[in-house]
Amino acid sequence: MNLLEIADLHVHYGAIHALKGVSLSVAEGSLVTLIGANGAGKTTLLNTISGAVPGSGGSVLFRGEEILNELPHLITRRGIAHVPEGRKIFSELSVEDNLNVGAYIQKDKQRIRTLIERNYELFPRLAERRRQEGGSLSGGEQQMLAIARGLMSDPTLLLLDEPSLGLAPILVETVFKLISDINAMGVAVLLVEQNANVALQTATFGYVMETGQITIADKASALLNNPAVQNAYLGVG
Amino acid sequence: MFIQQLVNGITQGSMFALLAISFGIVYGTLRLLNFATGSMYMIGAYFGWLMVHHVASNLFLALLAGAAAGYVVGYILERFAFRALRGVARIASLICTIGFAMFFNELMSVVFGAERKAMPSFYADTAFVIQGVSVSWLQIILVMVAATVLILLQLLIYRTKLGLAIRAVSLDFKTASLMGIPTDRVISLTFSLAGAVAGISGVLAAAYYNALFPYMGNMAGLKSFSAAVFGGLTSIPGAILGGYLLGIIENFAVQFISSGYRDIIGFSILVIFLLLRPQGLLGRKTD
Ligand SMILES: Nc1ncnc2c1ncn2[C@@H]1O[C@H](COP(=O)(O)OP(=O)(O)OP(=O)(O)O)[C@@H](O)[C@H]1O
Ligand SMILES: [Mg+2]
Repeated sequence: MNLLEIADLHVHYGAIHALKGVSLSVAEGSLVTLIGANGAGKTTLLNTISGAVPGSGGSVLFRGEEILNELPHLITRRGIAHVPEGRKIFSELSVEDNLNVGAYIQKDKQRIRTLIERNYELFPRLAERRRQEGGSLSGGEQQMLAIARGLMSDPTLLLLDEPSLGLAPILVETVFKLISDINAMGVAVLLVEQNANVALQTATFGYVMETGQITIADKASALLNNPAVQNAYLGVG
Repeated sequence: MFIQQLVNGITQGSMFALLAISFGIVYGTLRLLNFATGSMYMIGAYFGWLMVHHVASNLFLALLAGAAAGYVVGYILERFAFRALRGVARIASLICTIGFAMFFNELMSVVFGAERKAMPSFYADTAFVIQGVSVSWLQIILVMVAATVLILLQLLIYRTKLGLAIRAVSLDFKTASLMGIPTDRVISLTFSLAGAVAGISGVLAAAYYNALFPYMGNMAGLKSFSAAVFGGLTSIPGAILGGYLLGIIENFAVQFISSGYRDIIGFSILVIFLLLRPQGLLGRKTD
């Protein structure tokens, strides 16, 4: 049984049919990427998994249980953390309070402390800036904070929406390295990216989405060598 | 005379500050101006009065009754003026709070009569005299109760996990729900707390003026709304400061100009001030 199993998922925004029967799965502990052009429906898919957007048909199974259209905070409790597009840092809260909000579902103070310390080890920049307001961080630091905040719920599945967006190339490398490290700690990752090259190099499996449908699903290494993918997403050929 | 007006100003300012904070926390979390704030104050006063007349003639029990009544009214308002209208334009919620204000005012005048009710005097003895100005125990108690409520509220919002959740919801409730925060419950609780604070303010006012009536919340509500705007609607310390300043300014205006101008002066200062500083005393520009 896969950790996450999505079958024939449909989402409508009024008259817009944004997801047209999407099927996708993420195995326990794996790193899967979803690539696709602007407006393909990638964010919509993540939002539907985390309950922020209602689905109109199909199913989303997490550990074999149906979670489609459950309330977002209950889905978080099940062990899914969503790091949203555009980071969505609580800009007026300090870095540490952003992390504390991320730990809302944790009851044990000691556990929260341990998770914060783990984050500060992963992201030393955040440790230096723990008292600063989230909004005062640079784009790269905010992205790290968004990921760190997502980890505070100690998830089994981490949904990442375009973590490389707007980052300098050197930072993109750092962020993807961190994503690999997080995955190596046993957290399954579903990574949405437009930066297909790096995403496919980091992930083990990949899906390509076009206008609300999955068009290709294959091992990441195979996608890197797939001419159709190369033409459309890798700027090769 | 100066001290007399300062004492009066701080006393009235305490009630304004409580109401202003009630406006402020609802606006802060929901971006909704709750024009039924004055009604929560009025209903609080009535339940305080019921407690005094039918159960025990004790100011502190009256305050508890007023807080409980305000809490329930806040809960009802959130359900019907806000949650039921989610996804509709924000202005619909605002109008709904005005509708509820009228409804509650009429309801109370039908049930209890439109005339003034007398609230007995509590702690009317003089506590001390400074430069010819006598300060009653009631004034001291009133100021202390308001200060205690304001401090507890500050501690709740800035020092507890629930307070952190309230702040997260007020900054971005969608993202807050992704963090596992039950946003509906937090919003409902915030509204109820705002109601409880307004209810306490109503009981204090009834005790201070020895009177209550169904429309007592109208002017008080408008003034404390002004005080909240004055302080910067999204800033809690701002709302408190705004409330006290309004109380003090009004009392000085009465003293040095004329009592007929009391209300005009408060509002004029507000308008002039907002022209100069639209975000209020402590509000943020980006709001
Ligand atoms: N809230 C919304 N209301 C109406 N339409 C929407 C909404 N959100 C997204 N859409 C539409 O749904 C489609 C998919 O959008 P989505 O944001 O999921 O794409 P995406 O793959 O994440 O794109 P990008 O790479 O630009 O982030 C688009 O056509 C978009 O215009
Ligand atoms: Mg997107």
